[in-house]
Amino acid sequence: MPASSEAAQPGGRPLRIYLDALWSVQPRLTALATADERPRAILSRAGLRPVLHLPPDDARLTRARAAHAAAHLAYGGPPQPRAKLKPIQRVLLETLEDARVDWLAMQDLPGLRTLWAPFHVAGPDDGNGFDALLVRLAHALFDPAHADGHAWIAKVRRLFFAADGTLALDTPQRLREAASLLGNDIGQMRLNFNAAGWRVEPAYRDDNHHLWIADDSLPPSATPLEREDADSHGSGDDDNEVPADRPPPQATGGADQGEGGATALWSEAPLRMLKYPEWDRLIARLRPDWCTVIESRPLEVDATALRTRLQAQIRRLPAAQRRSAGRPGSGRERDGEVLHTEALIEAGIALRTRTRPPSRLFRAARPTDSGRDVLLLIDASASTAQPCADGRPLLEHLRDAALLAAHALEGDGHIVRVWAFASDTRHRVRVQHLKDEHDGALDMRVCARAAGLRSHGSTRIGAALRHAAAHAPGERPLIVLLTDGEPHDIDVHDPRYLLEDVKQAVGEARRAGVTTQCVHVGPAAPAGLRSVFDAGRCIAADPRRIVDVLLCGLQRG
Amino acid sequence: MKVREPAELADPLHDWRIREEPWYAPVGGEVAAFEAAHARGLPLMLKGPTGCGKTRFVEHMAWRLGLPLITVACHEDLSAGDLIGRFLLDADGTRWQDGPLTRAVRHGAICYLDELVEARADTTVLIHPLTDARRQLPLAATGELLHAHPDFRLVVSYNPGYHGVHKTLKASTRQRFTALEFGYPDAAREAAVVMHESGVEAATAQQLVTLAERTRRLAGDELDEGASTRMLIHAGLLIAEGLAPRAACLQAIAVPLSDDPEVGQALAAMLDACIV
Repeated sequence: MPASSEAAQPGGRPLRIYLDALWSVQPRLTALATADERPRAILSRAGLRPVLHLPPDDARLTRARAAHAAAHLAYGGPPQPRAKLKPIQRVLLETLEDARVDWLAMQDLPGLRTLWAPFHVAGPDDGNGFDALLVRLAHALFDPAHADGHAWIAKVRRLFFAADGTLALDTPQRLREAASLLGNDIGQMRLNFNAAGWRVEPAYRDDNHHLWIADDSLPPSATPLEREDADSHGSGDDDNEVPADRPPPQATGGADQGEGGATALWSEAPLRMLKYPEWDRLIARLRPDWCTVIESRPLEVDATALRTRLQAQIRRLPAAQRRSAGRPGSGRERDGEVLHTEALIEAGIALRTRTRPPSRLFRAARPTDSGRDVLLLIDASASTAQPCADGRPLLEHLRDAALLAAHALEGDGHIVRVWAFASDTRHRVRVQHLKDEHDGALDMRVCARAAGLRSHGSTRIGAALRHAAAHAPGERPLIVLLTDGEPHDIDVHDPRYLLEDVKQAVGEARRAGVTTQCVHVGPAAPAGLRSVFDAGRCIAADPRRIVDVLLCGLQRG
Repeated sequence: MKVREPAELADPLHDWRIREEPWYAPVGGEVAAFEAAHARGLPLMLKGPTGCGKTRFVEHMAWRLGLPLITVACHEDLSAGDLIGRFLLDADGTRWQDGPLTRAVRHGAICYLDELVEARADTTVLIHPLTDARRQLPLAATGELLHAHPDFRLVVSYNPGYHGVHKTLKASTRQRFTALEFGYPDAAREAAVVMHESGVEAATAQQLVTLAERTRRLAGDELDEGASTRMLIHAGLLIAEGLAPRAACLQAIAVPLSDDPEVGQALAAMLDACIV
């Protein structure tokens, strides 16, 4: 594994897979830099994507912490108001909630008991102060077989578990009532609680601030993290610490750089400007020189993280896709390395029957099928800034899939280019070249351009298709459009106008010998889009499966 | 040299007959579906992930219907000759040897082409005339046109999951088949299968199934496919043989599933969480 982008959390990938597989949670993992001698993990749920800040510690404790945080995410409810709860009652509620989510997690995954049990060591010898009682209580609730002997702890246990061993405190309301009640007991026992010096025990549990609705009237937490949470919709690029001044999502396409936005979008110098016609369905003819296509390259930004991630993903492409030609095929040749069995048998028969034996006795080195000229055309309109289920913007999925597919297809002998397009009225249909014929899909410059790609503007597909079809010089050219929506632009108000134009552009391409295909990202391609492409050439794909769909689709095309 | 028993001489499909009932736990209506396709002589395609019981189901149905079963594991170098047969040379000259498909067509058996999609497209088209009303197999090498035996049936399996650019069935092939979709059974049923096949206790089987379900969430992302029922049975067999559950699961599930060391670490940690 090359040095990955999770520099902030060494060994982050196995942990991420672990959490995703066991609980279907995908928190961003970051290292918690702290001078605290007894640091605790901090879980933030303020942003769209939770963030788990893990102090540096050995692998076992880190895993125990991550599993506990995942239990909170999987079984916990929304944050609660602190309202009138006193500190003692709050910390009791936290202890009960910790025990509850641990118990539920262990019901599903019994092996977790082995993971967490070594951290529960408190017993009667630890004393009878409130802090000690809390730790003893945590142990007693974690392990119903543990004998503590303290009357109050026995009472909590009876409250917590039903007679049949299941949870009695199974709703937030019941937990809260129990915590209030038990807090009063502590008050009657004249026990003091120093909230400022309190540290949750055992060590794998997090500081639990995520259980509460943030309250401005309270002093800030000892570890100010909320500042970062605002951007935790973050892209998965990068389980890196992200600068807090990142721009809002609608202006960003990639998380590979922290800056950039709409202002930079049209600033780079155009390579050239070309005019294309457009189909007007009302007059049923082409309007000549109607759309202006501006060719350019995206700004190049640092793409080390993107490139590392793509390289890691290439290894996970199915083997059949990576295997290039060069294996012996089924054809026969005069020379070669592998003898052709059928040809040998035929030769043997011919010799015996005294007829002329075949002269081609070897298997042909590779299939004669030559590569195609493939252009992957990415829709980079504003809607692709929307985050997908994994929190990353759709544009990143499109871009990564295009580069991975380009790499795999070039391995199979195809020539692949990757372009992106977006429009801002008919006067500015911008087509950006991420990768041209002579670039490698994972060249640093290609990745830098890809990382610099931004979501912006609208989707004038027809003009982009005409431009692409006019620049398809190679063998059996194929244009694959990767999009998340139907054609749209701000200067067009007739929903059928641009669709009809795409249909026209597809037909023009077909007559010029260029095949067009559309991969629509989402559950199902809209009927409008399907109707304008040739039958079967508009396919829907899940964001995570774009590469597979691209590669399969190419074979059919 | 093996001495041929009279029964084998009389019955050319003797070796392919299934004598013991292969155990199979039906999940839905697949037994009735297979029987209906059989009654009408329709070819059948079984789709589903690896190790979910497709092959066992075909064996079970062959036994149920009393038909011999000839299985061919398809691979990318499978040639027409491998399926149909070829001339062999011996001391007396040339001799025609039926391939597995020809044998099933000539004498009446279920021919099961496992993982058909792995076979080359030009091999796949061979089965076309067998799958429609013609039910014929032309043997170009001998000039023979073979009409299928009334008991001949064609069943293929196909795993649509992980195949990439060169691995899809042509429409002209896929539209000839009726198809049944297979998946992993639900948790309770899968645990019952693991218990029956490996002899482990219910609690252990349940933990194995939990682990498998969690690995399946990684399919298509970190893993090509999640742990199959077959893998769970292997783990169960190792446990029943006396291996510690954790070691058995490492050997049968975690290590075979992935070569990526980081995914391996994650799988080992998942195993700790699921297996006691």
